[in-house]
Amino acid sequence: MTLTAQPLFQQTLGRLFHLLPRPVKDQHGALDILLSRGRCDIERGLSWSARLVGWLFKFPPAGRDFPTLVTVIAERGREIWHRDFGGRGIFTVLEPARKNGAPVIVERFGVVCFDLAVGEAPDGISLSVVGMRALGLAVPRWLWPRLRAVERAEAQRFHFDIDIDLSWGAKLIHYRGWVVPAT
Amino acid sequence: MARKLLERRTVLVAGATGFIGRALVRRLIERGDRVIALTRDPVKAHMILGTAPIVTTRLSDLPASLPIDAVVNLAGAPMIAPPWTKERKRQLVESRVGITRMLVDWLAGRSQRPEALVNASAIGWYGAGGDEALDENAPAGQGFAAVLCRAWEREAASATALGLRVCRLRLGLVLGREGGMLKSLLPGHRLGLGAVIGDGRQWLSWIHRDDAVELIVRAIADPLFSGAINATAPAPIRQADFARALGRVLHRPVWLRLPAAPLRAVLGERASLLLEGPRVLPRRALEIGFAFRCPEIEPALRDLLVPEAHRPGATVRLLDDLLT
Repeated sequence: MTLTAQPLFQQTLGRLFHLLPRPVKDQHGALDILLSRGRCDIERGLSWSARLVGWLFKFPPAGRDFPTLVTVIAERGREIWHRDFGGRGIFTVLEPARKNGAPVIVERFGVVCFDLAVGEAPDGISLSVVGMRALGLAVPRWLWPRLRAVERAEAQRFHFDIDIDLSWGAKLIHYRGWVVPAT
Repeated sequence: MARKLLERRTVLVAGATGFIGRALVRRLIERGDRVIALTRDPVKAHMILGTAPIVTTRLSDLPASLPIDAVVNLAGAPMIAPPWTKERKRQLVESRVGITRMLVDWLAGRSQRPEALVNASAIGWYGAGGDEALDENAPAGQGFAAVLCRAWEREAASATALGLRVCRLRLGLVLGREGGMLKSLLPGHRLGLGAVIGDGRQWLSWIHRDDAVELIVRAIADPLFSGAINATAPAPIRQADFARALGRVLHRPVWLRLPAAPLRAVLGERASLLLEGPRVLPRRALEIGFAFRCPEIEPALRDLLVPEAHRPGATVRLLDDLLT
């Protein structure tokens, strides 16, 4: 088989990947294409800075129980993630990298990149920001967003809970929900 | 078996208004089959297909009591244009993998299930090709097209668990006047601007549209058509030879060369479709005994492009008709 030998998260987590609960492993185990469907609630920050950043990144509006479709395309060693929340979609591109000798995942939103460390969490994984670049230039730490991201298995579903504040504490977006593979 | 192939069937066709779909629907109706066309645009469907097929926009509108003998899934947004941005890739995935998933989910919910699912795939499965001849046993290649075909075929194959016979037809470059690659090449070639692309040594694994349609018609009824089957002519050809054959048929010179580098710069990843064609052979179709009507490129192009009256022997045939 000449396709990507290992899913991106397996490359990053190593042996820990095999210990993850099945729904988390499935959601992060795409070797080609994965479609997942579910529901999601979204809260948006109301400050002007949160609105501005949300507009720049084309975040979906606040709302409850949005039908959610996640499309993952794994190709050429990277994963293109498209999250569709009730018809409003966000693209990010995930690539493996190393930072200070440790494996990280680089998540790219247009010209802004975040280095994400992936750690173990009860029934799943957590993600935290360990670096940020804009237009290829390093962004000082005091400007990094505060990310609390947990992905876990519950009732045979992949649950996500992603809470992002701006560096000065203003709420940016909080989205949580679940998906199951449609494939 | 011969009787089975002649039986009148009810066939649901997804992607019925596309380049292959419309020819398939015409052929099935000509055979006396009943066709249900699944489409997003019923007006367009009736304009293209006439009033003979039943047209539906939603699978849920089809009564559970309506017996369906086979499903043919040809749905999919065109690969060559527009550029493969992230959004376009998502659309290509949704229009192939997503629609196949929807069909399989719908089939799972039916008590009366068809006998067969004939699902389109593509020779993009094999990725970039060299000179090695590839049959259905060759593994998936690399690149977006291969990734897409792999997921597409996996979705279709999941219908096997529902008791359906699943035939995954890996279509080559389908040649016809109404669409596909040939339609876009014709204006340039007619103006004498036909070109050898890159070094011209890349392979074009092509198939005449009538042969593609006949393969699908056979696959609907013939239990031997199961698993992956390459829908390509037995004689793939290098791009330079294809350009020259097209030039001969149109009586136009082919003297231009289109270097690979600017093509890659303009088309990006899509250039792989033109510059890295694999050499694909229809081993399974030949084993099953499928007889290609147009196995060689030049007769195929003449069949498509030269009016009947202008083909060699036309005068003799005309005199013969007048005298008998």
